[in-house]
Amino acid sequence: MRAVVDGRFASTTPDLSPQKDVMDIYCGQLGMVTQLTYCVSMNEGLPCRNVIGCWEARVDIMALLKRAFTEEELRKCFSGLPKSRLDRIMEILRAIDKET
Amino acid sequence: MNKKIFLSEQDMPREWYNIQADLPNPLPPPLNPETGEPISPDMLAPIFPMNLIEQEVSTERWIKIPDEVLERLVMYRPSPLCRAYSLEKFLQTPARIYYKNEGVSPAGSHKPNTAIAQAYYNKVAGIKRLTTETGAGQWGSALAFACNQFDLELKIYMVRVSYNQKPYRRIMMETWGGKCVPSPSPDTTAGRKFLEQNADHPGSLGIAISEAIEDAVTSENTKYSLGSVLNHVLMHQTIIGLEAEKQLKMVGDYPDVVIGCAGGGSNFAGISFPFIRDKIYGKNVRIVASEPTSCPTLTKGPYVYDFGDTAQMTPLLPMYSIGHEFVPAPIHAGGLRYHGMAPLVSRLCMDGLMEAKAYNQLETFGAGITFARTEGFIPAPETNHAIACAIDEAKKAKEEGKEKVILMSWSGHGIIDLPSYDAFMSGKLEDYAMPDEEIQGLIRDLRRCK
Ligand SMILES: Cc1ncc(COP(=O)(O)O)c(C=O)c1O
Repeated sequence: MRAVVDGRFASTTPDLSPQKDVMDIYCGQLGMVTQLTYCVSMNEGLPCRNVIGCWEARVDIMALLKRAFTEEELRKCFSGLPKSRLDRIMEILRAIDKET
Repeated sequence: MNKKIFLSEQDMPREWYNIQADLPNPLPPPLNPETGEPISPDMLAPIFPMNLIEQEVSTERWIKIPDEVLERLVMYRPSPLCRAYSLEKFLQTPARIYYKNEGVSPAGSHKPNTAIAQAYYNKVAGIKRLTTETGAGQWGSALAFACNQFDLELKIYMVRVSYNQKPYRRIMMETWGGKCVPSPSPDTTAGRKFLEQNADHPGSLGIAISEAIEDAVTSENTKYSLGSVLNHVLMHQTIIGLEAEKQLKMVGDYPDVVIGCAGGGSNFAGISFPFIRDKIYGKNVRIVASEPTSCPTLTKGPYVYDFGDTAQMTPLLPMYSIGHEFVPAPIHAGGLRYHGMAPLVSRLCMDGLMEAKAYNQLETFGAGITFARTEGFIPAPETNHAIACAIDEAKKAKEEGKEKVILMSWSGHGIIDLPSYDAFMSGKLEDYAMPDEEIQGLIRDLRRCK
């Protein structure tokens, strides 16, 4: 698998079989082709919120998540509904307010 | 034969259409997630100028497009409405397919339609500098072009992996004078926090948003700009549909179906809102948003962790398959508002004024290539969703033997997205049964990095 550019897995992701090369995906958020390693780790070491929808048709993503992450980690990542853009903005504003 | 239908510059619409004036069920005010109270305009004032906040909440039906904005829009507008004769012939369909080519803008997509307006309103509010985030670079480059037009400084936080892998978008931004930095960056508290954890952090859209907002809030004369989702952004895009309406009239057509791809909802709103207005007042027209199966905000719902009634871990399921048992009723009722989709589009979907269809990656790239091989232009990957849907509709027309009129938003070109076509054509986006040892390897990597 090609390494995730300069990501945290660049040095740790082994360049395994050439077959792994087929595991590319087009990511709408990044607007570019990326790999599963990015999708399962981009959220501070946790998966992207969209990882299941993006990968479920191609790999047994549920099995992979369950084996790679603890229940607590999965809860942290997927519990509750995703925030709207405005919710997110308000949350960031509050955090800045607290820090300053 | 009328391949391209041109509207004269004099006939370009002079007002944007604000669908909030015609909504059968008005949009509830956004709520502060912490207090449950409505978000008041002054709460948004640290990041947006008051003139745009006023547009955000306005229920005036028509809002005049300022002359200074029209002067910039006319650099590439009115955009041509094209009849996809070759695609029709290829599909052997009786349908007439029209596509509104928004790829003719300097940045190559519909995004400048709002970027220009937002830059202008910030300028007249006395703002000197804007910040934003970008993943793919489409929005960042559109805003860089617009800020350059109004002599505003711009700082773009671009997700680091994209920054490194999509140099051409970055170069576009810099050519127009925008300052583009990889996110996380050392320039903000949020960015520094992530860099301390990992100096090579690949970044994410979430981090880039935090950085752009922090910069806007903590810098003098600086505001933040957003390229989709918000009401005023969608309204600025309605020039697309308003032009298309006039262009279709010129050839004596009216759409049976209007199609747009929907990410945050802005180009879809642009092409469809003027026609949804017709629908509200009794016209028979179908409106379809086309979205990726991977992130189906309108057709399904997000994946949420199902705590269930048992202590056991249960699978992650789409929200709508677990429905009322899991999601508290009030949230479920407004459920669609809680995703990345524009609240206005979600509302219209819930009210049955439009429908949504989801397409997977292979279907959409296949449709994009069919389009490129018939009509010539290479579409942006997002645009491919609309094309896949238009092709479906055209095939249906063939089956039914109906002379349907299909109108779609061709939201942008894909010249800077060619690596994604390469991945598709070389089979790298195909399904693949990952062998167990590879899964094990990936898990080992993850554990090592935790
Ligand atoms: C060409 C193109 N079309 C569509 C979209 C999706 O955005 P929206 O739904 O706001 O139109 C994007 C987003 O970057 C885009 O670049």
